[in-house]
Amino acid sequence: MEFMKTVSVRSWTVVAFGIIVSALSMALIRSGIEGTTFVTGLIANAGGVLTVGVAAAVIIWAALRFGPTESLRRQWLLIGLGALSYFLGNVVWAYYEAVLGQEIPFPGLPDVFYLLMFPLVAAGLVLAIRSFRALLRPGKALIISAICTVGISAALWIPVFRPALSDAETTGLTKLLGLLYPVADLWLLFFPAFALALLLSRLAGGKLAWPWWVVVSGCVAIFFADTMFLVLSNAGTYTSGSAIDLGWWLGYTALAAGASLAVDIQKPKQTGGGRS
Amino acid sequence: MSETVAEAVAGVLSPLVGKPVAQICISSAAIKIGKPSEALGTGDLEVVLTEVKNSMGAFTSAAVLDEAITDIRKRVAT
Repeated sequence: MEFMKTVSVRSWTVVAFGIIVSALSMALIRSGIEGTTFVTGLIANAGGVLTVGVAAAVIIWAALRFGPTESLRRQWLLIGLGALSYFLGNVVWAYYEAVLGQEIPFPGLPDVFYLLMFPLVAAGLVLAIRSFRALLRPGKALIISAICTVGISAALWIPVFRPALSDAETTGLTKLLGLLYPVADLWLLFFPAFALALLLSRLAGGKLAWPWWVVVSGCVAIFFADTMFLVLSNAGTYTSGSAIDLGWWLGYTALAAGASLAVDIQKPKQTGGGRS
Repeated sequence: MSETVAEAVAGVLSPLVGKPVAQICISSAAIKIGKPSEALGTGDLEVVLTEVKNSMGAFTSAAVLDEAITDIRKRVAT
């Protein structure tokens, strides 16, 4: 099968690493290991730090395999920097929980990194969409995606937006951030990812589209996890290590797998380092 | 037996971008030259290859593009 022949051992390893670390982390959390704040904090955050950290490294490595003038380098580099930013957010979050043993401040330093992820990943996805414009006009895909995003925004009004707006205890920046997360999720993650998926559907299985399909699935997983996080946080039932964390861990693993698959398919010329 | 330019381009690009997009690529080159796709001849090859480079360059690596262009030349020549 063409797909199996194309995918390298490295790409399968990236996928296997993400799945194994996610499964082990979740199993450790669910086993209810008792210990110091440091141990429990470390276990609760290990999945997020490891999977997203490795994902960021793989994506940035893949980006740097392309030549400095190649558009693909910019596309993947922006997505990689977005993953790196999210990883730094996770590290700070883990530091608060495991080392300081404190409740995570909101707004706080992790939010800076988490929010920075959105424009970086969105810019990478927009560049990817633009790259097809010589052959495929993206206008229709963008309009359909915008309509879907508005529809999902309306569907999320009651569980996500209304609680953020009506919370009398929060004011100013806290309220703004509470709204910024779902808006960024919808318009900087879901909207470009869905528009890209619509464009890719016109490539009729052409293998240059494969890495981007994997990225789209990763973005959808991250969007789903973010949305569920907001719903559970509004209900006051979210804790680190909830099942929804798998959406982030596997979502970023998918972004890394997409980047690695892009190297397999695009076979960039050597720009430094050995080919694996 | 050698292929026509349109057949060679479609044969090489289809696995990469799918048949419909490969056809768009051929059609846009044909429109530039002012001929129907099926009338593209070896004399038009350079213009067609330039069009392939221009339209796919933003989402394809230089390595894959070079390989595709070499394959198209081979299929037209042999």
